[in-house]
Amino acid sequence: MRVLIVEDSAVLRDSLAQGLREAGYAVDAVADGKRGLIHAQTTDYDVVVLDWMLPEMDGLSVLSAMRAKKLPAAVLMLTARDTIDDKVRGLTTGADDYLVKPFAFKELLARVAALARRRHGEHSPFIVVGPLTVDTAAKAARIMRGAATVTLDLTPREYTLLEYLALRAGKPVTRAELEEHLYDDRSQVFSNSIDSAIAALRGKLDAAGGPDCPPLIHTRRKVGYVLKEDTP
Amino acid sequence: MTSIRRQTSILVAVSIAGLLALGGLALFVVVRAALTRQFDEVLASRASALQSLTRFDVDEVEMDIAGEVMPRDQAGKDAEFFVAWVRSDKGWQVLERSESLLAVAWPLAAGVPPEPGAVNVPLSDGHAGRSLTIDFVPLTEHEGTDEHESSPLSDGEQASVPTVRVLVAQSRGALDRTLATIALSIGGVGLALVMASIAATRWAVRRGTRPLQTLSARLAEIGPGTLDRRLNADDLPTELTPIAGRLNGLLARLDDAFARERRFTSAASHELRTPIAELRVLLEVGLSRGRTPERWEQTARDGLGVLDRAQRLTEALLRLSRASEGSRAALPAATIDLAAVIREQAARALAASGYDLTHVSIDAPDPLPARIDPALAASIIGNLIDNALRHGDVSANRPVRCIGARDACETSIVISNHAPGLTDTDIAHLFEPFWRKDTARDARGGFGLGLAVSRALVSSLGGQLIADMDHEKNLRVSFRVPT
Repeated sequence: MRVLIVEDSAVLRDSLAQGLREAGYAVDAVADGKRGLIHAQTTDYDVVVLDWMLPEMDGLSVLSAMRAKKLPAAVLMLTARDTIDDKVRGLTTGADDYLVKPFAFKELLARVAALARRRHGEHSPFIVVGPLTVDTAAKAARIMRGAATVTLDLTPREYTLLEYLALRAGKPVTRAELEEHLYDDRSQVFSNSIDSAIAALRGKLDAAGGPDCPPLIHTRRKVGYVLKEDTP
Repeated sequence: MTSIRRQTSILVAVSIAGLLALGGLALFVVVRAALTRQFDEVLASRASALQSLTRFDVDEVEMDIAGEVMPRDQAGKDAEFFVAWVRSDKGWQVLERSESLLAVAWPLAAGVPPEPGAVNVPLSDGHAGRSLTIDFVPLTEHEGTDEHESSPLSDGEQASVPTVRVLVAQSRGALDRTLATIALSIGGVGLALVMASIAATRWAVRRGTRPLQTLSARLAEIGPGTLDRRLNADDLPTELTPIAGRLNGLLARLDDAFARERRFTSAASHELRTPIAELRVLLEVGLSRGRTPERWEQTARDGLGVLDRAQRLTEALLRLSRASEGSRAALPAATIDLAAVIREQAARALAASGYDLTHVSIDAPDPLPARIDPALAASIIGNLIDNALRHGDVSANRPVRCIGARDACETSIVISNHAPGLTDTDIAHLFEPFWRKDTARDARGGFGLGLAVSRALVSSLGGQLIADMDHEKNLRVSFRVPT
């Protein structure tokens, strides 16, 4: 999941970026509205965390410009403005959620997760694909092995990859799309990064699911990957 | 509480009642005089009739009244009667008296000669009446002439003819009853008119003051949340139009003040919440994963930076609060040199901002004396120079200019800097707390409180701080104090 933070306070921007990265998100962070809008236009973000009072171009203008260009990213407005009028104004301009400063970081994480899920049409925190269950709230994945349930031991990057595939379950996802949503501007992406991550994920799924478990991640030649229960 | 409607109603009703009472009284007096005159004329005609019936024949006076005068002479309520006396050597003796007088011995009218005109007298039956008394010398009856012909006497004869006094009187009963009826009618009609006028006054006053109620109702609809509304004065009477205009002016000022207050509260809450949000996220994210001591050190340093800014903000807000509440500072006894203050503050501000001496130009009479608190003057001038250096487009070619001047009325210091980005709208907001051209919070460390604090300080000195923009996009902030 790729998140853009547009926040002019350096401390807040850096802390949020760090916290979100540690939660498994690919995060880009910028300090002003103009750069925020440019980023939002050039990259397919899942969630944009947008401060209201920004230099160059305020958050509300960025939001209207994003909505005018029909950018699909979910927007979480972040501001110290707490009157009902402000909230209504933010939401009617096209914000998907609204968080008043100061806020608990846990709450921001939960809201970002919910927004990211909804962005892909998933409302439940549990995504079930055959024997696999991805718990987007707990950021964990479980697989059925006979009558038992085995929790997968995944790195944050692997979990994010699995979650993204699960959100798009049944639909092929290109490598480029995976790169765009899983890596931020700071990440070094090698040409085989995605392939090796997929290989590692497959290995863990096979190991946890046991020999009876059907393969879940399928390769689509020249397209990418698709996560689905292979029904014969 | 006084009520215009009540007061006006009472005033108008009392005036109308008074005027009606006076009018009624005057009418009554006129009518009574006319009726009394008429009454007296009847008395006078009777008296002259009796006079014409009185003759002096040879040696005695006769009055021939058989059925000719006072056919209604009779006793009763509206009694009318007469008495005639003749003067002889033995004094006045009754010559004739009307039968209606019955046995009453009417006293001889006092006074010789009798009073002219009719007078009020009490009648024998206790009723009031009016009487008229006349004295005359009867005509003499001559032999050989017609029985009814009379002729004036010669001077010799005149002396021997006795004087006759006739008194005619009549009860005032009918007259008084008529007058009472008239008085009652006037009183009744007057009372009815007073009642009607009270009702009419109340109606008229209520109708007349309706626009006031309309205005009051419209004003009542405007509250703190609807200060942008204005009173519609189109359908108000001309007397209320200026009031509505003034109220609208007041509303505009109130609206402005409320909006300024709201902006201030919103901006202050934003500024105060930001460091709390920063610290909270900083610490929460810091605690969410195991950190190396180096990372914790960085977190602590970031936290201190946030606190430092929060502290500066709190101090700036306190300065603004104190400056705004400060009463007018007493004029110090000593006069200070403002040119020296400008030089000191310019040097300090240049050192703090990293500019050199070419970036500030000073053009002021040396010395530039002013009676002003030295600490306040330094604070204000320092603030203005800091602000110009921080936000202006400053270079050696476009330095911050400090121009001092003094005349009989005021001492002024104008601090100007090139500000190509500022618009006229910005100038209007320049002195608002937390206003910044750019909402960036930590661009150059400012909170947007410096000019607001300066203006509050200048106000406490009884001076003025105003800003304008010349055609070359130079922002000029003028600080003026009375000389």
